[in-house]
Amino acid sequence: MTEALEIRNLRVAVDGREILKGINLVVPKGEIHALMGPNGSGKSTLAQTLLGHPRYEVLEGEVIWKGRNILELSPDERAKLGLFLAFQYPVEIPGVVLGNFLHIAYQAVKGTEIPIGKFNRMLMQKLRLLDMDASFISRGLNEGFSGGERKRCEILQMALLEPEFAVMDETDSGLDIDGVRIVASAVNKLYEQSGNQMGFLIITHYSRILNHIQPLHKVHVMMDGRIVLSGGPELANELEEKGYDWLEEQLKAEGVLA
Amino acid sequence: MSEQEQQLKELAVYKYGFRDEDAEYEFVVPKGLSKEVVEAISHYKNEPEWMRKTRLQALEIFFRKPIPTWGVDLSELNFDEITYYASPTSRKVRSWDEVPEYIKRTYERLGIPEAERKFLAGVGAQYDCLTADTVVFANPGAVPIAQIQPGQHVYSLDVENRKIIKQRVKAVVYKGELPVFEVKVAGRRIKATFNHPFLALIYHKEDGKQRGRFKVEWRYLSDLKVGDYIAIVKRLPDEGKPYKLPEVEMETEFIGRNQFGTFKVRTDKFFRRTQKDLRIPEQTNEPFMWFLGAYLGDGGLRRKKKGAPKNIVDIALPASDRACRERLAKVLWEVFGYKLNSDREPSRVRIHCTPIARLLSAIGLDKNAHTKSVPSWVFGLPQSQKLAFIAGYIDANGHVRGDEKNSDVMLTSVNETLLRDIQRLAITCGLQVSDIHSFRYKVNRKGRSDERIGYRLLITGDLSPLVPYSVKVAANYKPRKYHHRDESHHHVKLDAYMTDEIGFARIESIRYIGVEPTYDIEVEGVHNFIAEGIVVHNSEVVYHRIREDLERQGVIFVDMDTAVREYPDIVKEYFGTVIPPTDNKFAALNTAVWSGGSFIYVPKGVHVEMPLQAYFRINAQNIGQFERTLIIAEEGSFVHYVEGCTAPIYSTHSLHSAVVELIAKPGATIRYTTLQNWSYNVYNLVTKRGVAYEDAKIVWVDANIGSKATMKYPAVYMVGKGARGEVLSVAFASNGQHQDTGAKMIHAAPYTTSVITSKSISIFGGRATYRGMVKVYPGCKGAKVNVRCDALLLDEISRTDTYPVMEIDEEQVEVAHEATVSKIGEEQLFYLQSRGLTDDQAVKMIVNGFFRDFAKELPMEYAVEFTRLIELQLEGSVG
Repeated sequence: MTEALEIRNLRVAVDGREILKGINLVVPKGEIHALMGPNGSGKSTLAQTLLGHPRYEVLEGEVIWKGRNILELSPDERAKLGLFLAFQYPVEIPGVVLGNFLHIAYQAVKGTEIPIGKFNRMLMQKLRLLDMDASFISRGLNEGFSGGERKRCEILQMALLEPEFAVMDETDSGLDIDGVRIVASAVNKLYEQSGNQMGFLIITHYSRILNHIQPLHKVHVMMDGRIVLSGGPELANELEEKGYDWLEEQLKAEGVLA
Repeated sequence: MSEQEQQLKELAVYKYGFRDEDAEYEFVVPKGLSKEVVEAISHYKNEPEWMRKTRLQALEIFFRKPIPTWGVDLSELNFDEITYYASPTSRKVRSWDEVPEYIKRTYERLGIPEAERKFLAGVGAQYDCLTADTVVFANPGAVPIAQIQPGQHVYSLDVENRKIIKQRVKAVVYKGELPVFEVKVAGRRIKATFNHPFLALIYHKEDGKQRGRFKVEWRYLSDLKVGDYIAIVKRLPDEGKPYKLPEVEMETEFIGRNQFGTFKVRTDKFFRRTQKDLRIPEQTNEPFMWFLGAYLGDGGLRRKKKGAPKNIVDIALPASDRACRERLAKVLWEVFGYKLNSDREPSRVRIHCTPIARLLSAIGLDKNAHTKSVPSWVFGLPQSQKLAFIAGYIDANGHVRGDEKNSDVMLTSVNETLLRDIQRLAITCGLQVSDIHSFRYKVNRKGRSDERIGYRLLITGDLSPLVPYSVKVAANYKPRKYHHRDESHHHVKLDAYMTDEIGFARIESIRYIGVEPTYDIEVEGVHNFIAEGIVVHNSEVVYHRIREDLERQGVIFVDMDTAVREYPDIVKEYFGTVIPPTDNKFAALNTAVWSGGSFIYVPKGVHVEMPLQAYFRINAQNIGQFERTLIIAEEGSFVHYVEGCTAPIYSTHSLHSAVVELIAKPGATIRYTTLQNWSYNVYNLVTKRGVAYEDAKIVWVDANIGSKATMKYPAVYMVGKGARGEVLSVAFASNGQHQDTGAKMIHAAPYTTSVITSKSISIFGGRATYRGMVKVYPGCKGAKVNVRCDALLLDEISRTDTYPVMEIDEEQVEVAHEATVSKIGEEQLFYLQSRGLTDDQAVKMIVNGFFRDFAKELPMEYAVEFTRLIELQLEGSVG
């Protein structure tokens, strides 16, 4: 079997309330999957749980990556195993200079030391790749960043840390059309650079970002803490057209949803 | 001792500071406080009567005053168990071996290099310096080190980011006549003492490993050898500006003569027909610089006949150099509106134009071949103008060799200084240069053959920057297929260490020259500068050398005991006027038993360039537990005083109670920086207050990291219109610590401004308290108050409190107050951890970020120390 991120019967609670009610999902390496669903269906909970946010309590299940159940590992250990989460709302950390942070993060993830000069040259390359301004890196981490800048900063980190599997939590929301296109093209470039070896789980509300992503292998729909439907890329457009209500009614009729 | 007692004892020992158990004392008063003890202190110090009386009065006040019941818990403080005065041996030592072991250990722990340790201990002199003629790359210009002025900017290397930046010079020091060595590297030469540090790229290879790695480090010249790589500058940032040319009188009176007698003619009339467009440019531009280069290369000023003014500009361009002559004619027209028509002489071009000749002598170029040099301002021009200047020089006096694979420029001259200048200028423009070689040649004159010495310089490598400017280079230029660069060594690529601006090149030779006058400068921040195109370290020891400079300016900087003896009048006038013994119990205690501390007097208008440091007197050995500091800044003066945690903790006492009084006269500024790092068993109860007169400014920068309990609220009394007070205070409270800090601002005059910024971190059950008081008296209209306190709690068991008091008795004021308490965010930690940082690293990063704005306010070495201390405090127990 090819390597994959495999989620088995994952149940997760926040403050005692069960949000994820048994997720089963396999994303093989080298595939780009989208995860869609209405607000409150548990998409972000899944994303944060995959990287190990302490607020999310795992009730049952496992997540297998590289032959290990990563739910037993701390967030930094997961990052070192090649997992990456692009946050929906990246936090501001005052006084921490982005450039220094990236240098330390790069060394932590890669497990090697790299002289600052060499690192900066590499960083400049990545900035050019994403068409970002160099003054960015001397600013505080997300400090006073606009919504768009925060999202671009997430993409920059992803490009720099070169993960093997990236979870992107609504990176497209709050971006204008150009912003969406930049994010999508960054995903495409990274995928290509990895020799089509990287895995992606792209969480989104809208199909517009998915239309720019090549190749998109699968689309999953999540409702009420479960994956209720999986299909090909065409499913995204269908949902965009018809909305989720249609699907919800149908699923209720089938008895899948209560 | 039971195990528990042992543990308790260990807890009390401060982990990162140290004490000197075996310090020798020659005089110790008995424990406890009494009239006899105070008398003994005064007697031992041989003090004047008024001081003895002041002490005794203060003692009575101390006994009367109640112990504060607010602030920190003082119930365990036992005044009878304290020794109030102990004088360490004051014997002078002559050699390093005689220095007491405990002092040597202190230096060891502080990480001070041995040479400096010797200096500090008073047994050796340090001299890392360069010869007086060494040219420093300044901004603007290129200036011999001996002529650099404090406050001027020079180019330095930001070592970490490998970028060339401008930094301010803090001091220039003459170091005396010393033996020097000449280092040759990449065409550059510099003369330095054996212990001057250079930035080197050193190859380290561990045994058993196939490949080593390079490290960039500072190395004394004595530790370098031929073949080692040291840092050179490949080009300077292009940030020059055109030079404003002096104005020149355009008109001249001639005496004419005809058959009717003599008459006066003015040139404006004279020129109306021939040179009616004549003008002198206001500032330099590229064609003008080409002309200047050509003139300097092979030109001079001549007179028509003896006694006449020098109004002819000669440039020795032979007629065979058709293209160069055409360029000259074009430039003269473009720049001066001058029509060149005396193109008949085979060996030279004559320009009959008084204003141009006047301009050349006004900018100091009326010199002969042996004495002319490049004016210093040429170094401050934009790169394109510098290149044009070099191009002009080449076109008039250079030889460009070019074939399929190679092209270079050869410049020869009898004037070595001039060639050196051209070479330095070429370096700043990013051109590669050779060293300057001398050669002998014969001259036949009146049948006699003379041997002369000439000099030769090659400009090599990539000549393309010169192509647009130089006729000769453009005609012979062939792009080179291969440029030699030191790209790899031991199969390790060096380009990671190089940038467009900075490179590393091998030392070609090091040779002893002899004894020469030497200088050193101190540069703010980065502690290095660029001389002769080479990156060199500057001397931090200048700090310790400044005393002579201070004396010249009339600044007094001595310890307080000395001040009482040598400057009794000034001390008596101000001592205890800002903080009288009646102020509080601990001010009274200090006044009764004080010892040590600093006394600074800055005369009117004197700007003390570098921070004065308590660390300065590290071996004075009278740093007491009860030091008393008094700083008086007269009108319009400036001084920055720094007391640092790097001072060793000499005492085993458990109470530190200092008093600091500042007096800022109208328009003066005093900045007072403290980095407090006492051991965990010390009560640190300090009274600090300054009085600011009209338009004066007092800034307290205060960091509290150590101690068991601290109570410290630096105050500014603004008594003159427009006075300003600032307190920037940070506190770090860990296990068992209570940092009760804050500020006090008294507005007693209109248009006064106060700014309080407080930041605290509590961790491992530590407690941080902000206690602030702002009072604005009636009638202080236009006063501005700004208070901001941020507290960061790193865990659930720690505590933080804020007690801000504001008494505003005037209506026309602006008050802003903001307080935040934040827990270290789960979200922040998770964010950093998801990027691979461990819990530990993440906390450190957030804490350093929290204090970053503060650290920026500290002198660099203190900022480094501050960050290190905070990291040590966080270590181990996190995660």
